Formats: sequence, structure tokens, C-alpha cells
Amino acid sequence: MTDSDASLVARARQGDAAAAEALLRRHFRAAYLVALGRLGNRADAEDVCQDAFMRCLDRLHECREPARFGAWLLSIVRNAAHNRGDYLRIRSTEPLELHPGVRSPARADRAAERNELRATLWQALGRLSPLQREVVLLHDLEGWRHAEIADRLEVSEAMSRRHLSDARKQLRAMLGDYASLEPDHD
Amino acid sequence: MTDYSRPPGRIDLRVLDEALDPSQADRVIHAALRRRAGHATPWLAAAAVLLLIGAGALLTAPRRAAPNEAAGLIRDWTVARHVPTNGELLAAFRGYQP
Repeated sequence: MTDSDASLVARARQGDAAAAEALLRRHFRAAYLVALGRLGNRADAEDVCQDAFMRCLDRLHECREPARFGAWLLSIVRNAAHNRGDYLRIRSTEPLELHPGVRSPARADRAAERNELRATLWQALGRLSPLQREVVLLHDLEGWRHAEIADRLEVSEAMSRRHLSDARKQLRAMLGDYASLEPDHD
Repeated sequence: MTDYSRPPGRIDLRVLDEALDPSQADRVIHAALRRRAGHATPWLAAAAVLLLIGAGALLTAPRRAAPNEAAGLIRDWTVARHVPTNGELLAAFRGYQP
């Protein structure tokens, strides 16, 4: 049986490193996607997650609702990403943009196509607002429902739906034929 | 008025997943845990040094001194990972005459 967040938090507070690691592992993807949504760069998103995880463990005693650890962790990640974003904007005059990463040489047409599609998607996502990116990544990539997104990102469900709708419209307009559509789950 | 309850169809973002490094979670989580452990080390080292100094002073002190109070304080500091200020050290050892 899977341990609840509340029970893992209780054990981590008593110094159980395995419980702390299990908590971070459980929420890693969401934390990473939120950081990526905010910063648009994978290396920066990793750094922010690392800082936020450390801060979260240091302040675990401040988590008032251990059952909602995920929401609490994401708020730390978003703050850390926000601060990091300010720092990066001060350092650079170039607009913040999602980078496709290093493109692998086109050893096969299929791989080249996938790389191109990925690069196009990153660029299109880079033109959305940070909150739109977070919502569309959590909903369409992670499969979260609006209730979950609303709870974790501390926005209303209506706002989550609105951001998803706007994000999809913009992505579809930017991606054209690339936008492969699937039935919705909520 | 826009009906947000029926958003445009879902966009397939799975190709982004292929770019995520499977070892990424391990790397980030272990680095955070290592860094956190590293943060705690200097505090523990400082506490250990204080404990040794305190214990040494107590062991070499004549019995007429009353070091119990200072020893208790040092123990409390160590447990709380508190590095005492000069003022706190002076206050703790006040009246202590080796």
C-alpha cells in the first residue's frame, strides 16, 4: 500500500531520509513541469527544483497541512522559479524562451521529425504565459484534472479551465498541422 | 461569451516526454538531499567542537567549580544545533574558576 503524503511528512519530520526521498520522488514531475513552465529552460528548472526541495525539507515543520504537501511544495517551487526568473531577466536582455535543447543529428527521418516536432512545441509553449504553460503541461502531459490543478496551483477550477482553453487555442494557432488532437478526459 | 467548460481538443504533448531524462529525478533529488546534509554538517561540527571544549574544561577543572550548569547549557546547545554567541559563553562560564 502506498503511504499517504501526511504519513511520509510525519516520518520525514523525524529524520527518516527514505520518507523524504519518497515524498520528493512522488511530486518531482509536477514540480519540474511547474518550474519548466515558469522558466522555460530545462537546466534552470532542475536547479530551481533542487533549491526548492532543499528549502522544503528545511522547512518541513512549517507545512501546516501535511495531507496537502504537494500543493505546499509547488508553492515553494513557484516562488523559487519566480525569483530565479527575476534574476535571469536582470542578467540577460534576451527574452525568456523555451529552448528545445540540443538537437540530435538526424540519423533517421523519424527521429528528425520527432526532434523537429519537439522543438516546435517548445517554441510554441514559450509564447504562452507562465500560468498557461503550467496548466497545459499539467493537464495535457501529466493528465491532471482541473480540480487537482486548482488545488495545487491555488487557482479556481474555472480559471484553470480558462487558461487551458486559451493555451490550447494559442497552441493550435501556432502549431497548425502539428497539433494532434485527442479526446478530453474532463 | 466564451464557454470554457468545452475547451478546444487536447493537444498531444507526449513527444515532450521523450525528451525528459529518466535519471533526472534521481539527479535532482539526490543533489538536494546531499546539499541539505552538507548544510547540517558545519553546525554539527561546531557543536561537537563546543562539546569537546566544554567537556575538556570540565574534566580538567577542580571539583570546587560548579560546572553542571554550563555542561547542561552546552548539551542543550548541541541538541538544538545552536552556536552560542560570545555573550552566551561568558554568561555560561561566569564564576567558573579553573
